[in-house]
Amino acid sequence: MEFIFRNSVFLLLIIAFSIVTYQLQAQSSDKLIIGYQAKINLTRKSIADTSSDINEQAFLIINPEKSVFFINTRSGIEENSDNANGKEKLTISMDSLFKMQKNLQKNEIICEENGIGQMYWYRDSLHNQLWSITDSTKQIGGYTCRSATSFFRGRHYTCWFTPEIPLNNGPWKFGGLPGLILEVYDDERKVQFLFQSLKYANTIANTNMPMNKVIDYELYVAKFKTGAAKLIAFMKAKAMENAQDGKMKADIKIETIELR
Amino acid sequence: MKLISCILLVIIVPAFCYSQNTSSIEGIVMDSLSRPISGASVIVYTSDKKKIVAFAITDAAGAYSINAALPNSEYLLEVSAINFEKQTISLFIKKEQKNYQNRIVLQTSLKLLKEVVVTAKSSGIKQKGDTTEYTAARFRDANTKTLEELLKKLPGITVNEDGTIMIKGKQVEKVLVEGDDMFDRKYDLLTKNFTATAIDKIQAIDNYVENALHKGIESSDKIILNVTLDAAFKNKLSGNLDVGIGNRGFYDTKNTIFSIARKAKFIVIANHNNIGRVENNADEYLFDRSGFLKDNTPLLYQAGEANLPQFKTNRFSNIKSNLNVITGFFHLSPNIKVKSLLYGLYGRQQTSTTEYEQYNFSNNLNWESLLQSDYAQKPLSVMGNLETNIKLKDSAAIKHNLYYNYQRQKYQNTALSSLSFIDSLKEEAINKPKEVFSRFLYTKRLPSASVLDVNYDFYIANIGQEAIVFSDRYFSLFGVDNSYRQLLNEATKKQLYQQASATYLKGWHGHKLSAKIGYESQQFQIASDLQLQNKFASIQSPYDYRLSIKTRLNDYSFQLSDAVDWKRLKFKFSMNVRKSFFRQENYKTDTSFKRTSLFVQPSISVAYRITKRQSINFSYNNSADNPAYTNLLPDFYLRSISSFERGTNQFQRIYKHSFFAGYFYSNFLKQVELSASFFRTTTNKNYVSSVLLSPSLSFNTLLPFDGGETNNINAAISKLFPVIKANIKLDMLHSQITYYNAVNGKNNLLNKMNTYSAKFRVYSIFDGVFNYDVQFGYQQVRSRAATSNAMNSASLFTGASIFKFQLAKPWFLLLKSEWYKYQQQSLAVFCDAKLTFNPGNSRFGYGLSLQNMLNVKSYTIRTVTPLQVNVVTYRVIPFYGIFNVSYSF
Repeated sequence: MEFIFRNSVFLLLIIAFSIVTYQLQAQSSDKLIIGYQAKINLTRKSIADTSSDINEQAFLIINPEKSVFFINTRSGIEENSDNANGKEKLTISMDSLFKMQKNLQKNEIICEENGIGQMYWYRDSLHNQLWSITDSTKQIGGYTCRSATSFFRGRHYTCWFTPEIPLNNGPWKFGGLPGLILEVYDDERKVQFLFQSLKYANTIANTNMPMNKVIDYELYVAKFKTGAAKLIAFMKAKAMENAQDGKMKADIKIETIELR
Repeated sequence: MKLISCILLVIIVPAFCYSQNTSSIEGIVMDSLSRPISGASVIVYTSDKKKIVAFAITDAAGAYSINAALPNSEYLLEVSAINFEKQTISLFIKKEQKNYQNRIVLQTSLKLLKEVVVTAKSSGIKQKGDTTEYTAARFRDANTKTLEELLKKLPGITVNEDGTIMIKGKQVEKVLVEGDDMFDRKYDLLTKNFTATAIDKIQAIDNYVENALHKGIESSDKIILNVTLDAAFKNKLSGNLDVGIGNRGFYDTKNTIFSIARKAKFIVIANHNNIGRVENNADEYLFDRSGFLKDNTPLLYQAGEANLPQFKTNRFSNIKSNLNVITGFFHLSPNIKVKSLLYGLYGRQQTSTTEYEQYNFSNNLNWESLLQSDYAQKPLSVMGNLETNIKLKDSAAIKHNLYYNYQRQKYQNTALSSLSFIDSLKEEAINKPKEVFSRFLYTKRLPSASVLDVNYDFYIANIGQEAIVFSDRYFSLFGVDNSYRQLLNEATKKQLYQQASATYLKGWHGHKLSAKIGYESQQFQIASDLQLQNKFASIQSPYDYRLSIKTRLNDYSFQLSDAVDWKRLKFKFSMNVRKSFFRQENYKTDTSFKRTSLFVQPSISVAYRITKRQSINFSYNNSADNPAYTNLLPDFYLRSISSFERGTNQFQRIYKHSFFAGYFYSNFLKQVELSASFFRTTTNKNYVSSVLLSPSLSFNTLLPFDGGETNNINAAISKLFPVIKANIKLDMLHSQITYYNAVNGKNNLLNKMNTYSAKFRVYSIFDGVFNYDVQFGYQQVRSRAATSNAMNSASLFTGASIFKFQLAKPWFLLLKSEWYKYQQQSLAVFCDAKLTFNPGNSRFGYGLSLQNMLNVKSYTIRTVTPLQVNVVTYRVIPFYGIFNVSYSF
């Protein structure tokens, strides 16, 4: 979200998602844990701009039938005052968190996301990107990767997957390629998942999702939009209240990873 | 006709469809016990395995199905699943066959995937508010030894030859180590000696306010660097020892030991060599002593004669330099910080020069002379600074600096001329100036955004004893003047100086008020300074005005400036009026000098922001000194071009007009600045005008070494030069084109001089295997004096290149060459080669370097025009070798 208070105050609010504690229960079997660096900056203006990156660890835990992906995050609000040009810029970034269960048998993903001020659980179809594989290759972490591109919910993504790891999985909602996706980013570099580690560990992800509350993706989108409209109206009213001279112009946009 | 078309279509379309040959490949993947494997990858490769033509993933029943238009050929079908052996089978797609059935059995595999941890490879630069953070590891390679070498590689940062660091055109004020300022203004000691491998992050902090209690009130445009250390180098004794011994008695050692902990930090530097390298000169004071009442040119400088010892930092023969520095920073308690810095430089410099002098006064008055001289000096410099910071409460602090400076300069000079009427010259001098300076500063934060500073300075100096034996015989234009002087002078001059001042700073609603009142002892003056400014740190206002009134007994000044931001335009106006009375006494000649001056200096500037990154700027200024004469090339090539200021003992009016126009572009990776200035100085006697064009450019590329694209520019470069994978940085260190014209109204002399010069530097890192650092510069001076019709021109080309190669793994080769070409007369090229052996994990490194030393010969061309050019030629002394052993811990 972006507010412009006349010329003087910029208020950038990146998607707000609440913090959920995550449990890892020890178990005897060896599980593959793939670590990613999640770089999300939906207000990025250019590729070199790193001013308000959310730079967090993300993990994909592979189980035979249900794999789990989540972003491990620090909580908190970060205030960043920029006086370089005499302009005040305030960035409030409540760190995002996604948690999702990928059910390979049922071909579905159950996602846990904080809509606006409320937690939602919704069902999305598994790996529904339509990939076209290109010829370029590169090495990531010693694995030879091939690239594939796809247009998925408003963004053009490029991903690097390796056939050397025959898992049709990847970070976030990505997957469905004949090999594990190690790196994926969109054209504007607003959403990036970069491979960091591959390890075996004796853990199993325990996701307690209330299955009775799970709604369909389309319904979730509708609910999110209603919530967003309410929030925009509230923020606009709040901005007018704060305006000293009444000349406030608030321009509020909501940008999420999946452009709706 | 239509019918025929339809028939043709009916015939042709199926033919096309047929030739596309959609094949369907179906199958089932099972394990050895005939259980289906779900989620297995089925990939159809071309036979050379370069391309993936189709793929599928098996479902819960282990079945897969591929429908793809495949040209007739041989393909490889690869089936793999986690925990199973991969299986590849050949597949022949034939025209006749459309369906291919496979039943694939995979064998269980116990092989685990290799575990991997990738260290993040980002651009290495993060920007957050006023701070730009560089990750050192991203820019460092095996050849980067010192912090300075690392800084040179960072985009947006330029390191000058004298060690000063520039960021966005601003000079860096300090370099902090883990937040503590250990080296004051002599931060080049740190940057030139500190180990690059110990560094984790480098932060450039803009708008830095030093005094924490001034935060939010004072607005600053200072920029500083902060260096943070890698965890492995913290809380332990680390360093790098490097000892080198060579033939002919040459030696070169560089040692740095440091221990950086949160509460106590110390750094010891001991560099000794006799190969002509001087890391640091004692030509600048340790900390900024600029005061409020007096323009604090150090008194030692004011005395004029007592020059601080200076080395020539080049390969003149026979230079010894010994540098020892000990600095410590201690956090005694959360509220008390103590810093102590002790700096000592001593050495010897002996130069033999042959000077060729050519005097062109007019057509019929030219002569030449050959002057041979021997020059030896033994400089010694000891400086110390003890700084104590005490935080009294949250709102008050005391800072005290005790500074000591002792200098000794001894020199001997003998010269023998080929011209009979210029006699031999002998000079001997000893100077021993010393000074103690104490500054006490009490800061108290008051309620409602205001702060009070109380400052007391105490200064005592002894210009020192001086003994000069001076014997010469020199000529004048109208005949030979056989004057002979012998001066034996012993003088001791003590100076005592005190000043006290109190400053009150207040900010409210976007305004800042600063009021100072002070007392100064030397001439018993009382001074006041009132400043009103509306630029309060955090609130932006379209108007920015400053009013400053300073009064002293002998000096009044009034400054008013106003800046208005209107949309994309920024308009700035300032007026400076100053009346001063100046009196100087020369203790040596017992003369005094008086001057009353009135300065009226208006200036106006308009800036327009074209886009976020581009702006243009025009300004008129009535006070600027002509920057055309700041000579950026090494001083022994083009020594000072005579100043045009006339003697000030007489009444005169000086008008200095300068016009400036500039275009600026900057973004993260490149900065471009194009500017042109025009100067005209008019006095009641003559005028000088000059045009200066000074473009500057800095360009960085950050190519990724891992093959991924980090940005579009890099991707474009990678495509253009697929073989080269390098980070390249181009900095234009200096460039100017000046045209200078002076007319002396009385004699109707016309002097003209044009200077063109440019200097570039290119760095690159080639994937850690090969990197280079090339510098080149060119300068041309053309001058014409009206009376002689003689055109004198001098052009100079200088360059230096450093190439570093990694040979077979532990071996490094460093090749360094420098070249100088002065017109047709001389070309000097000298080379260094250094071969180092750095075995893998060992802390020991070995190196063998070959270097050459130079003998100096200098030419001087003097004319009555304001041009004086010294030309230095070198005689290369054969190579010598130094073997060095380094140990890092």
